[in-house]
Amino acid sequence: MARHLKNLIRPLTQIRWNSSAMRVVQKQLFYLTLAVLLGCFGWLAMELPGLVLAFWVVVLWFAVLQRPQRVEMSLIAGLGLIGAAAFLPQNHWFESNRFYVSGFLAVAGTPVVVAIIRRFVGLFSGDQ
Amino acid sequence: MSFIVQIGLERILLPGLCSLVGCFLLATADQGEEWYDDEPVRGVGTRLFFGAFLCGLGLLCSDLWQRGLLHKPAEWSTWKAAYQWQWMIWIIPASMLGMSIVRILFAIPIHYAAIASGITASVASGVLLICLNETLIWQDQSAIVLPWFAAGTVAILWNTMGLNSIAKAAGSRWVTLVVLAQLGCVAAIALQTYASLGEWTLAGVGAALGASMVGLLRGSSAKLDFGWQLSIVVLPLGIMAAGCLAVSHFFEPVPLPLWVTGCVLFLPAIVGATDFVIGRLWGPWVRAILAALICALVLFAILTISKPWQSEW
Repeated sequence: MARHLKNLIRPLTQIRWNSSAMRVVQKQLFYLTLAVLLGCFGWLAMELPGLVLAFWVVVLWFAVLQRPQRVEMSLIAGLGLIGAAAFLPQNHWFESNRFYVSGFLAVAGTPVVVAIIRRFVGLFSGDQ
Repeated sequence: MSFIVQIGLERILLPGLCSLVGCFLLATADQGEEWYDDEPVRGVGTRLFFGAFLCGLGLLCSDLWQRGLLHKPAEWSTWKAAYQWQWMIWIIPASMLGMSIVRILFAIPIHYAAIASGITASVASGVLLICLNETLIWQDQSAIVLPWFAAGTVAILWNTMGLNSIAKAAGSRWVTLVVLAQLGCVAAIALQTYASLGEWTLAGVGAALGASMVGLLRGSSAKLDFGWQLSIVVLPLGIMAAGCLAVSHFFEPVPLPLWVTGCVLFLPAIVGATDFVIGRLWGPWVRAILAALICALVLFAILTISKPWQSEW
């Protein structure tokens, strides 16, 4: 049984987590997890309008963080976000659960804040 | 002292003079044509720090003077925000100082350019989130809070892109005038809705005026986004303009058509896009005149539609 388990785990131990390919996977997993969380909070706070808003927030993340900056992506994300905020019914924005709304806003800001923190960590560890 | 003279001294002259000296320090921190994007810029830290500090101090002192607290340091702790938007009085100077510190820490220009857009986005959404968070007072207007938050954040991001685009294409001498025009338009709207907010916007006009005078005399050879020296001061002023315009719509707003409000909110982005598409076919004078024409048209539309000379203010 123990040997069987060991054989099952072995492929995982052979993965080079620090390799550049795995770093890309980790980054994608990070954004994917945040996008799912954002969608969940959006749905719980405002149902379908929240979900639509979450989609446009995700597009805006990439518009802000992508290097070199893509002007057309910023334009599309901005128009989408304004459209979603203006035309979808979100009258219960203030009345909905504060925890869900705060969670939505916190998750929406996380990638940008994390990107800033990572650069500062890189700066002070000499890896600018 | 008459009211107009008092406002002129407190809200235009003081921030204007501080900004003039501060922006001179910032503008002279430029390394000229010789610097490289991937090599650290050294020996400009003190000028950057004190330049941004002076510009922020001018805005802060303007508010303290207006409250009668400037000469009474013992009473500074009694400062209170009657509305959430008044936290801008601290946040805008702090963001100027913060941007200068980040610029000093990230000495290599490409590294600063990479982090500055994220910081601008965070400050923009943070300012709007704080200013529009009047859940009890504006409960009846809750439906327009989210659209204004989204439109404000996007406007600040697009405006930043527009200003960067102008400055990179050899327009750094007149790019600050675009923000000055936007703040002027916002002041024309805000002064008719809520005097205190209008006065704060006038302080921004004063600071932008000082920055514009320095900018006209000394340009910047920016090749990267956020590479122009005055961006440390001018971009927070752009955030302030969008924040004040957003807030003004919650205090008995002037009945303006949506397109005029949109034009004011996105003015630097509109000027930047026009300059990018058609302006660059001609020389610098034509580009500057085209930008001035757009700004003057928007201001003229506000003054014609809202008729401030007939209002009670």
